[in-house]
Amino acid sequence: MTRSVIRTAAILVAALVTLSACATANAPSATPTASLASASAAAIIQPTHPVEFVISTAPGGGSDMYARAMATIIETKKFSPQPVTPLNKEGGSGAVAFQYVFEKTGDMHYVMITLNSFFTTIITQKLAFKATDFTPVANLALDPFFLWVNDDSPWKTAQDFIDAAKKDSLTVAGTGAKQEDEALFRRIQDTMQTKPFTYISQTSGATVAAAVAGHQGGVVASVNNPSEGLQLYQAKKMKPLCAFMPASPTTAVYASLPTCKSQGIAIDDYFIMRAIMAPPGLSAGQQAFWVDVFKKVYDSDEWKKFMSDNALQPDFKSGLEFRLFIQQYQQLHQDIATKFKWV
Amino acid sequence: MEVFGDLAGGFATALHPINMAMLFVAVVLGLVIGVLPGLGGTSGVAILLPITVFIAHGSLPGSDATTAIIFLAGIYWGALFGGVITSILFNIPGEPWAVVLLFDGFPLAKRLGKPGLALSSSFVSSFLGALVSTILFTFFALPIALKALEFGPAELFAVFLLSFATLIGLGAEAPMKSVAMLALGLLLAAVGFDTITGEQRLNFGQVSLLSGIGFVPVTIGLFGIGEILASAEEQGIGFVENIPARLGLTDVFEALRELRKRLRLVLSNAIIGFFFGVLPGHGATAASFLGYGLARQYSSNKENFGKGEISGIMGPQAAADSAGVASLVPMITLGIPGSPTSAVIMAGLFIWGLQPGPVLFIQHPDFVWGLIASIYLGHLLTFILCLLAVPLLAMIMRVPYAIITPFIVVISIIGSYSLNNSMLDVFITVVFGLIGYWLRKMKYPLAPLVVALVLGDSTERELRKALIAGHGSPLYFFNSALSTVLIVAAVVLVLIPLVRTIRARRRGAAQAAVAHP
Repeated sequence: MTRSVIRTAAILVAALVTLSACATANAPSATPTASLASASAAAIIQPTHPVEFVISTAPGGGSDMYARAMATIIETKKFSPQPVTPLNKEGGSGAVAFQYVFEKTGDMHYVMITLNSFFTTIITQKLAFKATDFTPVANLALDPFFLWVNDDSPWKTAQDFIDAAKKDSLTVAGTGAKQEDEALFRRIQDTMQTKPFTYISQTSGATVAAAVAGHQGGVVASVNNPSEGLQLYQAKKMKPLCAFMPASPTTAVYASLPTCKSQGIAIDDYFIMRAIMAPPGLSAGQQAFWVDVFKKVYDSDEWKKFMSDNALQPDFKSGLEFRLFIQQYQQLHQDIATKFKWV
Repeated sequence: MEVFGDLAGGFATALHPINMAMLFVAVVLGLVIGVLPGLGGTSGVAILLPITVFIAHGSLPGSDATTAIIFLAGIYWGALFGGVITSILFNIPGEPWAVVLLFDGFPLAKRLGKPGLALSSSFVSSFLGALVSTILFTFFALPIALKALEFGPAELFAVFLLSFATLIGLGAEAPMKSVAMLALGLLLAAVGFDTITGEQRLNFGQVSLLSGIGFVPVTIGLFGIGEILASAEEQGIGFVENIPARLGLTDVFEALRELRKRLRLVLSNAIIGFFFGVLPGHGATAASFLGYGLARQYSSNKENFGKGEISGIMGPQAAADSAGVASLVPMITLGIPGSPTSAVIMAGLFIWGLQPGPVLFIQHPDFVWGLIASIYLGHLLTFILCLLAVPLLAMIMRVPYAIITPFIVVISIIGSYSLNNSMLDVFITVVFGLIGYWLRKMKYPLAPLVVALVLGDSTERELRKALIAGHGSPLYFFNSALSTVLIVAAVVLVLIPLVRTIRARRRGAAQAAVAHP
């Protein structure tokens, strides 16, 4: 009796161990076939074992959702000969993920989804590398910013908001300190000569929107992305005043929204990039493989629908154009960081 | 009542064969994910997200987006139940919300030799908690979610303060030792990245430490490894090795009797857990600690806590499961996830081409009501599966501890590695295993450390957000009636034992004076 019990238990535990090992076998292992395949790699450059798709935010966060949508398209459409597995390396506003991918120099089995923290975090955390050190793959979309206030706010236009901000220091919310939301608020403060905003850092875009919608802690405004504010806009708890875009959005729900520029806030060049980066030192061929994969993702109907559902600006950049964009954004964030003494 | 018609429609959707089949698969997967330490409900749901795209797009006969959400949510229900099994049987947390079950679950199973009762108690309270929560979900989802929006940093800080206050005096044999452990926990919680200022803190320049010291690898070490080292030395003294083999459902009936005695506690914890779960970003883990603290406050024999008290299992479990269900409420109604797992489920909605929010109720009533009905069915299914498994699971505890030990070590190491695929977490587990052993020898209570480590970060963040909002004035906390009430309650809770101790001491002194004139 006891023996059979022990045996059952042993089998159970062994099964658990095996299962957990399987479930966590994300880490690619150097299989013997890998070395064989590398011999013929001169002919076709492609991954020879599973690829890690590194995500710099927690599961469920903004760029996590985008990465999982992309990975799902790659999987279902078989754009990659090897599985592309999302892996969250959150922490330090992206620093942990950037460091992790940076150390994989020359290895095409890692790609990473990035947003503007790719610039801000590297600058403010004084990491040992620069954004331009990584191999750029492509940008797949630009996520615009709107200026949001509570639905019962007395401000009807962006101009009302600026007038109020010139009188008092307004309390505003955004994701993370010294990140893109704060960068935009500081730019507004700088361009429009308002009183300094009191900036409260929240944990995610959703909690930022909730803070505005619920008047939490005196928060009166945010610069949430259109997708983050949509539900509370429909629930009539918050409303957008203007869009930081060159032209009014095309999404039906937001079609009548004026640009901030037309309302007197001359900022129309600041977006969140939804871009793919690879470790430093990839060969031109390896880089081309990933550019091709993500171009296919960009061209897929699924991604087009996903972009329009989430009011993203379609914007594919790769090669030189993307390199220039990265340099421009790096400079922009460097200037803000210097001006507001973030470093 | 329109709700009943909607709910009936929801049950018709959820009872569709393909939906029931996927629900069954999901809760079984969820149970396995729950049992495995390290592989949490959040990552489990995230890993299975790509599969749901096939389900949502009708790759299975008759499946659609409703099937997909029933499947994803089902994993969560399974994991809510399953996480505690590992805590109770092996003294390592299967899920973050099962950490608090280490305090009384394992002692009841191993020190008092009642693993079946410990498991059954957890399952019945989980089920009741979830049931209460689902009923509240069914009838008041939108108004409650809107109310929760008004919960600002001051109110949230007050809730956390209340959690700490209910837990003060845990392991109170030596109060200063508790204070030391609390301080150590807060110190560990401070390591990493300061999200308010965006500065690095206590990481000694190590980028990998910027994610902070996770409480799961720490508790795996403190409890799993630490207990093994301590019991190896004692050769299992204090463990019941000859747990009677009972293959019936006697334990379940005993658990039900115990539940009847604690019905008020379980119900009120379920309701509190629901409100806690609706608040964005906190979810089941924080609720389980508050639930434990409240159970201890209600109890007339506080000294039994930490030694295998059934209220210490039922209280937190009812709150945790209720909060888990509730965390879907703000996600579905307003697009604000109430917990990390519901954040991943929300990502699923976007990927299937749906938008959460009030419009969802109007545009896709089948989807919303099918989901709500599946919460009832999913919990019932999980409950039955778990109860049937109790005798088998309890049998594992008949195996001498010395034989299970190597497996626990292996599971601990694999579990902490698989949290983030990082060796740092394994290192943390091993180091805290040694620390846990030493703390046990020195008779330092572990519970205050864990509580501070789990709640420290959020408490600090809300405190600082409130102080920024109040431009530095602590009076800001008394601007809202709710936070005032909660803070006063917390202060009273802290003062009561203090006053009692002082009184008891005085009386003792007086008696001593009488005895020795």
